[in-house]
Amino acid sequence: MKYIIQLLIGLILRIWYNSCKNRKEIMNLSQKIIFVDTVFSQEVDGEMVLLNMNNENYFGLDEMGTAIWQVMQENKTLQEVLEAILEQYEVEAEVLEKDLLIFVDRLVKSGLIRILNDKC
Amino acid sequence: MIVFNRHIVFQNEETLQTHISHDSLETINVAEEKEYSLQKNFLLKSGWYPMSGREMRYYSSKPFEEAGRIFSWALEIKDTMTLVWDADQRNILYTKKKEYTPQILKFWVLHTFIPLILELERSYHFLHVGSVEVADKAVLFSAFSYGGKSTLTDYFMQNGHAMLTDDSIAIESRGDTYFAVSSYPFHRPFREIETLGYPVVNFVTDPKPIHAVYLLEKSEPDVAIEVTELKGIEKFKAFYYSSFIDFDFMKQERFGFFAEMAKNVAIYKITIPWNIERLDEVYHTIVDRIDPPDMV
Repeated sequence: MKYIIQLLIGLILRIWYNSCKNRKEIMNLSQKIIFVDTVFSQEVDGEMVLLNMNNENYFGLDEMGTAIWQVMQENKTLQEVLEAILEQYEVEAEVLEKDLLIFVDRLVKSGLIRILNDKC
Repeated sequence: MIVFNRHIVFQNEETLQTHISHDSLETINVAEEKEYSLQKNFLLKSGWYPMSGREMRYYSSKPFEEAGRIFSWALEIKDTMTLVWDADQRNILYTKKKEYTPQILKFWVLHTFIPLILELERSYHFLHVGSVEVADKAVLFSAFSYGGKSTLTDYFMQNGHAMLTDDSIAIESRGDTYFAVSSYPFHRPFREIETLGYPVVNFVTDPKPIHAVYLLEKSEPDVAIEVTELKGIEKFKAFYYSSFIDFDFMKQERFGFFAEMAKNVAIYKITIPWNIERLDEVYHTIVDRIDPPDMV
């Protein structure tokens, strides 16, 4: 009986974990960014230069990318990042939201950041 | 002899002695120890690494990540010699092994050991570049291997410019100004392992402010020479290709240092027509930007 209870608990935990894991992979604006600790960044000539120590790849962010990166470092949700960038640039909110999510997705796929669902 | 702004004295090898001294510089003596036990003096030992045609390994009493100004350590070059940095006395001790020669000692001390000492104690950061003096400033040449650094450095020297280095340079920051600290007075315009080349008389001994870094890019023999100033991430190519000392634990520090340098030093890409007949044209393209000829 004790063994069956342990199995059930393990199963529930696994379902919860997979649910969280899957939730992280679908981006939305309520999520926050985690910076990968092997990535270093420095601003040079208005561009953000990123070095991923894991593979020694360099990345460069243009002016908009740099602005987004800098705001993300203030530990905001993507919604807050969106609002901060809207204050800085004259751009339509819908367009910026779409571009922001594409940009963040690229950073995730390049191994530079991870996204966190704040409910997990 | 003056090496990386230090006065280096090979106490026990007369053939390596020079009569050049400098009272205001730190003196580092390189002295033979007949017997020196690495195992007794150092707790930690690395695995063997290939370097300059031999195998070598590091010894230290604490991890290299903790290196600072007072950090003694050693390098064992298999079957050749051991080199010990005595940080308290600021001397280099060496013990001979069966393949030792004075010339090999000179190579390993000047080319490898002293740069490692100075980088680990954070006196400088090093780049693998060629460099000459133009109008009292240092010009640095960066490129891939076989990218033309040595050829261009050699051509400038033939035209009377003093050499800072044909292999590695120490970079020192003083506020927002970056200085190039010359290496050692030898020039090797040919590829041969474990040699420094022939002695150079026209050698810069004082640190010089850096005018610019030129990233050499090979091009077809007949194309026009173009000079483009690099910005942002493109600037890093010049430094990324020019890494000389590559400890993992120093990568972040070096990244930060060269990012700051990139904000304060101009970096240009210059296309180099792969045609020896046009080397003079490349030379004048660079020199005329720094020291324009007088208009008549």
